[in-house]
Amino acid sequence: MDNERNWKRALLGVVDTVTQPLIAVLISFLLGAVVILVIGKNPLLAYGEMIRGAFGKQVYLMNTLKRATPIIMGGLAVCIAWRSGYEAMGGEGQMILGAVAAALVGYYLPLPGWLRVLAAMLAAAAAGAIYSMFSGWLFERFDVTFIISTLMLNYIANYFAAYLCNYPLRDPEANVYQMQNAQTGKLPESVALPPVMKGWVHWGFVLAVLAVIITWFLFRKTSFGYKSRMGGLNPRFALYGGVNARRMLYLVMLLSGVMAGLGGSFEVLGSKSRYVDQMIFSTGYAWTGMVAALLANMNPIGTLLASILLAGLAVGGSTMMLNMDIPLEVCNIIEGIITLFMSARMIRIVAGNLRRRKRAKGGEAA
Amino acid sequence: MVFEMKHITKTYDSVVANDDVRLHLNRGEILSIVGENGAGKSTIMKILYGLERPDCGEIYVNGKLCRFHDPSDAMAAGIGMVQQHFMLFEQMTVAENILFKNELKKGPFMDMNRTVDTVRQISERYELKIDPLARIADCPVGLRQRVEILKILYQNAEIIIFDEPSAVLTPLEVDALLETIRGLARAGKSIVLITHKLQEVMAVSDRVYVMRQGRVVAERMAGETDIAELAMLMVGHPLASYEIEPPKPGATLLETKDLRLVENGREMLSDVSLHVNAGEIVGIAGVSGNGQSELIRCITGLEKVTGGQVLVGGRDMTNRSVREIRDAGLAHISEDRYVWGSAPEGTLEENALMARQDEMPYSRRGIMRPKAIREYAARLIGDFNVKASSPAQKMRELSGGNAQKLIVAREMSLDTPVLICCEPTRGIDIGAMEAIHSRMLQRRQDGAAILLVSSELTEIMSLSDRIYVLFEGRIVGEFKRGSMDDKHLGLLMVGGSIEHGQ
Repeated sequence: MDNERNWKRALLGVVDTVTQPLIAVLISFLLGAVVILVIGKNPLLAYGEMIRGAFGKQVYLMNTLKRATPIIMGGLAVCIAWRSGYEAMGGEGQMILGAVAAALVGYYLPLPGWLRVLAAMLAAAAAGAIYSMFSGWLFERFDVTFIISTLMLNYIANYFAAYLCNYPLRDPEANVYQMQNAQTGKLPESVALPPVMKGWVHWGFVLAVLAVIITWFLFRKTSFGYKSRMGGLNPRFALYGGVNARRMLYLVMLLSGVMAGLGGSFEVLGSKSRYVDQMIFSTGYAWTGMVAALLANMNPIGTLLASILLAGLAVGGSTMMLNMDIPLEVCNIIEGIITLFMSARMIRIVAGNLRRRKRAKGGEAA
Repeated sequence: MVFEMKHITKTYDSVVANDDVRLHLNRGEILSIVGENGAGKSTIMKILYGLERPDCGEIYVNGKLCRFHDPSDAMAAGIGMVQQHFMLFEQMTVAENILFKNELKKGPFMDMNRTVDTVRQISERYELKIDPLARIADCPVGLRQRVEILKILYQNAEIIIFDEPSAVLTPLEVDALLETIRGLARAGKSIVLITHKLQEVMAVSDRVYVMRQGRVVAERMAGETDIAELAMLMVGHPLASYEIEPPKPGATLLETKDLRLVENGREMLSDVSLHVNAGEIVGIAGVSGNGQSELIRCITGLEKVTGGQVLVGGRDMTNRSVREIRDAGLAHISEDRYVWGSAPEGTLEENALMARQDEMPYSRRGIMRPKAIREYAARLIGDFNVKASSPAQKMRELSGGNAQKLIVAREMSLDTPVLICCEPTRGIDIGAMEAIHSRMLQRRQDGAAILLVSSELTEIMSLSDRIYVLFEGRIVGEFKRGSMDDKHLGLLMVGGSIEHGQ
């Protein structure tokens, strides 16, 4: 009987967390429909086209999953950091450095194929982790808020990567006169995350799903997950209970950075075969990941689903544009509205964290 | 009789906050309402001030039946209340705050000269000195309270309610406040003082009501009673009723040597040396804010000490981590259950587990074992009679007393040789309080060394085998059970000395 009550409670909890994002998505699509109506098209047909374009055929579905891969990883990076009370937004910078590291190691390191892939992923994970832990250090040592440090570090990473692929690492075979973004040299065919099967998505997606499961396991089943959650809910309580706050900070930032960095490497090894200037920045993978994580209320499995939904929106949107002559901006509007809803939630989380942190610090100092 | 309340009953959900309460106030009288936290004294005053509406009962002001829908009704009937938490605009001047909502205008603008003059006049009339042009942000707490009082006087209140007015004040400010209260009564105002500090009650009141569990259990003229009787009436049984066996002190399990703490250039603790033996409860008496919190944070590893030593079980644990100190055999019931002692948004299981998260059988090589954790939480909930519907419930859904019981259960179940209890019964009902006290005495019998910090002097006096008095970060006295009465202790707590004080 007691068990039954717990089940009910759990179920109610799930309904509770799922309702809000579902409503947000629904309203966003309704408003999108209004825009489509104003353009003079049939929103039902348009959305049908969009869904078909995102999930209707194996090719489309695989396209969506491919696009979802870095979004999932960016989302996990947010889940890990935010659940522990650190509102880091450095996924983008870490993902960029991860992508560059993977492109670099994949291109230059003289190892046989699959070992080189492994080394490239390791390098990407390390790059993301170090960059992420750096903002953790700024926070611990100088009290720099994560929002500020991570946002600024994103720019530094992007411009640093732009410099690298414009000058020292520029693809020697690139056509100087062609109008295109600078890029690094193309990786050999053997240095890649190949498709799982012919016509399927690349292994990066599988690894991302694996990362989701690992994160879920970490959160739910390990004492690390417990400590990080308690630190996120009430940092003073964690301190009082003997949790080493400093160690948790760096561990959390490390894991979060590893996820983002790997996300960058999956995009390079599974899709682009090189680092192309702005490839992470202009696609907004990390930010879409953050929206996914917020939609899922920092639940890793929910983040996976939300990432696929948001990737589908972008992929299906292009089909809608081609087949129905509806501008792609409609999709941007829908994603924008979702983001708007979710940033309401984000502000609440961040404000809560700041308040709790301030109290925790006040307690040590007062 | 300026007001009378009859048959007031108020319930929240299933909790009876006021049960058939009747009381009255005479003109020019200082009336105290005493009772422990949760006895219903704040509720009855909120009803009188229009902040709460009673389920039934009548209020007569100057013989007329009144119904108050909100505080402005009460204000119009001449009732004002000095709240525990001040409601002042920090960036504005004293005068602007006092005339807020009753601004004196010249055309569309505020008439600053007249405002300042008015404030000067009332300040002089009641002999409450204040600079009308000072900014609130620059005023110390005592002056801010004075502004609140002036605000009420300006609105022509005849009845002034003080809700725990001394809780936030320093001892000197308390003296000034008591003088103010006497002055107001001399000026013909009628005063109601809500408090649980009996020294203050005895110092100023004419008449006292004692409340317990929502009822008025006694009415006394101040001249015909004393602190001991009031305390007994408040708690409901004689204070010495605990069957306390003589202590059998063993080895010293907790010791601090010349502990110093300097924070932002201020010396918070100076040369604090104390020890707690096995089988002994040692109390720290003191007015809140005299270094108790800092002392406990230094002992438990939440704060790095500036100088001196902390020894737990004979081992030097100075400036070690919380984890190491806990592992050396120390458990800690924290002073504030929602700030330090729990994660209100976490489940009972999560809150019960804290400090044991890396211990077998609750986790093994970093992997948690939900079944063991759930059983453990259920055991704590059962053993300490925590009223909860499920271990998966959120901590914040529990009442204060039950949340506190869970925290006490968690820390006591660690079964450590040293136990630190900070305000273990603050703001909880009497049943829960007695349960916690008897557990503490049980642990003492079992040979634990217990350090008790409490702002309730009655709690300290009834439980402690030895008492240290802490004043401005120093130990100013040490006493064995029975060698000191509360009057002298109270004097030491505010910086007086036994030789000179009376």
